[in-house]
Amino acid sequence: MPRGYAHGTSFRKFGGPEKRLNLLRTLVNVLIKHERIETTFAKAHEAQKYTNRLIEIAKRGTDDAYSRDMIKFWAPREEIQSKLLNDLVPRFKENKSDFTRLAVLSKQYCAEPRQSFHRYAVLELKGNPLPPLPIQEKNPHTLQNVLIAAAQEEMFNKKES
Amino acid sequence: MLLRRSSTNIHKFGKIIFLRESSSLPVNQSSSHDDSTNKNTMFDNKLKQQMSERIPRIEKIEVTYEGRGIADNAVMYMNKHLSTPYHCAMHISHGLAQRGVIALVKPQNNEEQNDEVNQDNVIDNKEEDPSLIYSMNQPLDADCRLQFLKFNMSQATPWHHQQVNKAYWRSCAFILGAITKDAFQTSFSPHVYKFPDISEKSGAFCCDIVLDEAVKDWKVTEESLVYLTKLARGIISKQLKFEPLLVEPEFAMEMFHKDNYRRSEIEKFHEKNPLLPISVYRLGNYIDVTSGPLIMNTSMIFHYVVTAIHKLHSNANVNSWRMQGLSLPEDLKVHHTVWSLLEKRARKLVREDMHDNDTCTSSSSNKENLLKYESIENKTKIYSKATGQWVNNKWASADPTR
Repeated sequence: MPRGYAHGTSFRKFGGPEKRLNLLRTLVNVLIKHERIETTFAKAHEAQKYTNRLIEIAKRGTDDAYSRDMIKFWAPREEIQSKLLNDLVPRFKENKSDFTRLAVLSKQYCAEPRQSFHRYAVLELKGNPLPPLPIQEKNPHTLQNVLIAAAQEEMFNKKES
Repeated sequence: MLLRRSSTNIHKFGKIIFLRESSSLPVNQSSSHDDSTNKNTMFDNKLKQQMSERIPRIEKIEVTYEGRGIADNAVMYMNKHLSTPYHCAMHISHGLAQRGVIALVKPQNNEEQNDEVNQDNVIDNKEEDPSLIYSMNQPLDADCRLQFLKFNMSQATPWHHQQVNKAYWRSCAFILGAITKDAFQTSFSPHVYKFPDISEKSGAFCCDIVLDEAVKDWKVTEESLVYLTKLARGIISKQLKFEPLLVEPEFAMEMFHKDNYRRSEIEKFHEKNPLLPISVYRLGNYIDVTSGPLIMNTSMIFHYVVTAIHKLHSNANVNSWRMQGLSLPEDLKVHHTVWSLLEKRARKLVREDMHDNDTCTSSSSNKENLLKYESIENKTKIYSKATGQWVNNKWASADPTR
């Protein structure tokens, strides 16, 4: 069973399926425009997955009807579409899957609408011109990362041949 | 008194064992099961001799610790030839002592550093750090600056990480060598031939074995691999130290007087670096020469699996096999899905040090389960049903005979 089901809360709802999609669409568009946003952790975590998928679709090209439909839904405005296809796709030529970075901030007290603590996070695209976030990146020289990278390379070469 | 007794023992063994002079074989096929006790006694006696020379005349050396934090540039006065980097780490902090893998030592003379003197002792990386690598149990010689290398370092060059990984790989292969005698029956007459120089990118550490001529058609089964891993786990759970001994080449030749390959290696090393002593390591009952420093303790190991035994066809006279294994330290634990990927890769024969001329076929055809790969680690470790993660100190049956 996926870990989310363990404690009762399976997936995030965000006020309903239609509202959720609209919220995520605005978040993705804003990320592409400004390249760094600060929201609650839940919204940032969900938006990260959708932006990764969108950029992956855009990399495949607009020949496909599926990719055209997806880009039309998720980035309806012209300026964001052009930025996606002209700036981001050539920037992420070499990256295969992860194009974003998530930095988690401390919990902050919100007096309204309910007195509660929310965890905020910063979501950014890789390769942005802003000053860097203080995040510890994965070290590619430690033993387990060396082994994993070598195994991935072998699988990749096998697929090609 | 003790020295006299040991000399008579060696004399006895010298009479019983007759040496063959065939240099084509890497090993003289003689009763090798008596050899480990002989080597152990020699090791102990040499240690006692060295200690008896050093203890009455203790000299002090100045050790400065290069690190980050409160203890930066701390100066310690330690005993020459007696105190090890581990002792220095114990003075500084508990976390350092537990997590430190190997130590970088930069010898410091009171006069200006003479590059001519140090060039013989320097590792062949002139672009990188011109400093020596000591294992944590190796005693310090002179005034120096100490730096500890761990598995997870945030501000370190790739060269530092490579040295740590190499030391870990070497010590895991050393454990493979320690298993071989207990693993096989006496009719197989196993002997550890060599530890080939293989990097981590190939996916597995290797140990080449030579078995008896009569057992050429032995087929490797999954059960034997599981048995070998349980044996290895038995050694690792004892949390033994890798004890080093720095020794002159003549003594090392005497210790390995039956082993042609080791003697040639010792000679080559001596020609390259005539000033350096040869380091002989001991783990429990097993003694061997290594090409570099090993890690401090077997308690750092978390995952350990013997993944494959392949037959090598390179030498027609010799029935040689290659044991392969995979392991990861406790600081760098890995999820079980990732582990099964790595283990699957480690089952293939590692051909890094073989030339293209040598054709070797894999011993048994592993059925490629596309649906699910059953890793050996699952059979030898217990994982908690609550979290789904492996519990560190528990492994599936304490008795390896079951």
